[in-house]
Amino acid sequence: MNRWKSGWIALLLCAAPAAARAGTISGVVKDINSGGGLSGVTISDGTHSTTTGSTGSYALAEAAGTYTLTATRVSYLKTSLVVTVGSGTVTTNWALTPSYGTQVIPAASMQYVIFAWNDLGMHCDQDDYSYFMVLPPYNTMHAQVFHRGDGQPITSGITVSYSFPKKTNSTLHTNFWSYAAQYGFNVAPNVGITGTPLAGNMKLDANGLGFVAVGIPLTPYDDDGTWDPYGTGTITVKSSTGQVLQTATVVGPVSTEMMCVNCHSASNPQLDILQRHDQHQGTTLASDQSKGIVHACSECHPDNALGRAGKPGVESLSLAMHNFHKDKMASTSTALNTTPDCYNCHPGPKTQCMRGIMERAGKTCHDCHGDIYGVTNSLLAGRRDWLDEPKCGSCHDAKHAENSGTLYRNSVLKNAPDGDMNNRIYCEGCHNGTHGEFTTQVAADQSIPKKFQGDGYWIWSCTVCHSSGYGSGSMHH
Amino acid sequence: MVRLRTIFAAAGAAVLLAACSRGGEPRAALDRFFGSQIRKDYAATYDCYDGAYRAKVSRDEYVRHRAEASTLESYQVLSLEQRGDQAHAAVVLVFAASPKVGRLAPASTTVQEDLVRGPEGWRVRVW
Repeated sequence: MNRWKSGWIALLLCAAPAAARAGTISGVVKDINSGGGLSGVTISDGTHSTTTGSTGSYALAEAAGTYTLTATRVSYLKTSLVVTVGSGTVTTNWALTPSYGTQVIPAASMQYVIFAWNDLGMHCDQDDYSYFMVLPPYNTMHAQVFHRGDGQPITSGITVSYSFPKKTNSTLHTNFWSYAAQYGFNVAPNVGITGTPLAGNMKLDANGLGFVAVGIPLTPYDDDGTWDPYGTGTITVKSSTGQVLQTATVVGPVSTEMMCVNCHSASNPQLDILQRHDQHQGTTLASDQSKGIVHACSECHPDNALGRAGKPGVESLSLAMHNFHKDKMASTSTALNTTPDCYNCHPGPKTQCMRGIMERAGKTCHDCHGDIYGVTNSLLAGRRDWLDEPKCGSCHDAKHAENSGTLYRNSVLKNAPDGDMNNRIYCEGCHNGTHGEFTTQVAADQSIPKKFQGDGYWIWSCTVCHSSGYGSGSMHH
Repeated sequence: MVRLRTIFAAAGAAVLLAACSRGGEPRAALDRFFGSQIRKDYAATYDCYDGAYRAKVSRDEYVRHRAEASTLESYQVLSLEQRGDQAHAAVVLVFAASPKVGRLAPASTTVQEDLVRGPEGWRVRVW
């Protein structure tokens, strides 16, 4: 009897942890460059751990809850992810970045460093504005200038200018300015809707940390007709006496690859769109267009991208587009076979807007934004288009999340080992704009880290900005 | 007959290879680049770009987008400077009148072109 009793107790002791850890986290760990499975990676929640097998796969039993998992392996960067477990299996795949940091840092021989980036990683443009306007030519570039040594951003006593040597005359290849007034923008040719030209001086940004040019009217066409959605510009920093202190090359990403033609009439997709809108909504857009009268979508649809209120009772443009099209992505084989489906409307199958390290880690648009139903439902639930966007902190730990209540593109470093760095450096300054986070698939994106750091990674080296007294280690503590 | 067909095939292949590749100086590469645009032979224009551009933009995509841009009517090379395997040119381009962009008369602009000599010969560099 005693043997039976002790046997039951032993069984309960063994079974209790297993019963408590009813869920499982499983997946595959790969090398971010080669895509090959990585063996010998330790996946740990701090208490329990497991190691990947020869194919890179692993499984870790967990109780229901939220965990910060780490993946560690010799010669690779330690990576962490936040995972929520229920009673079933949660798939969590990893892509580890090989260790770096053996090269000489080029900035060590420089006096000034420039971080420059585009705010969104991609802006949309149209090839033809003679039917309607979704978005005008509009690109926003940021720059921060640092004096090496003290590593502090400089915001006075210098001028910071921008130019796009291959894109000096947008009117050569786009008809936006022929219709700009009808769309509500009384701007001169080659001037953007905020009054910003294709080249000029950047202004101090709203936070007083760097410089910005808002609404540069870039198109994907170079002056010679070359289609280049990743055209580069030059940022030039001059002293008050006009001496050039530093230059940097930065991408002004813009694409016209909105593939309406995947579903709408191939002969004239824009007219087809107007006619279908008229059929569904009782509007007269096609008739108006035939008389030379064109409309911006934001005349009626509220659109936070342009800060336009639209008409009362009309769905926001983002909601109208996602809600109406959500069940139509399979209407043609081309649309059905476009992967991810977001690239039917957002740029695009060739542009590959999502090209940063998130993409290289195997994530898709859906992982951050949800699918088209998810986007629709979130907007219906009150999410504000363009203002409430996916949060880094949904997957990354608190050290690497954006600032509370602030979008990634507006967030700043707040947990540096040196307090002097806090609240002074934009996340995008070191990591680049969203969708094109370092290190990206597009070589042109990597110009700045390559020039100052000697590799295409995010800015990880203290030596880029500091002359001495700083060791290595994470900038996020 | 078979031999004749083989000779013609070989000659055709040689012509294709030469279309925008080996041989010629940077000036010849510029002539091919702009000449093909004037003929609206944008597939041939595509072959004039360096590998970095062609690795990123497919031929079909290039042809489709180039056709959306303005039609090149004429060009004139103002200056051409060669330094080793790199060259730089200033070229005046004249684009045709375009009802689409609301341009009633041809438009002229001066562009700067960078060329690089690689294994395939002189090519236009975009970045």
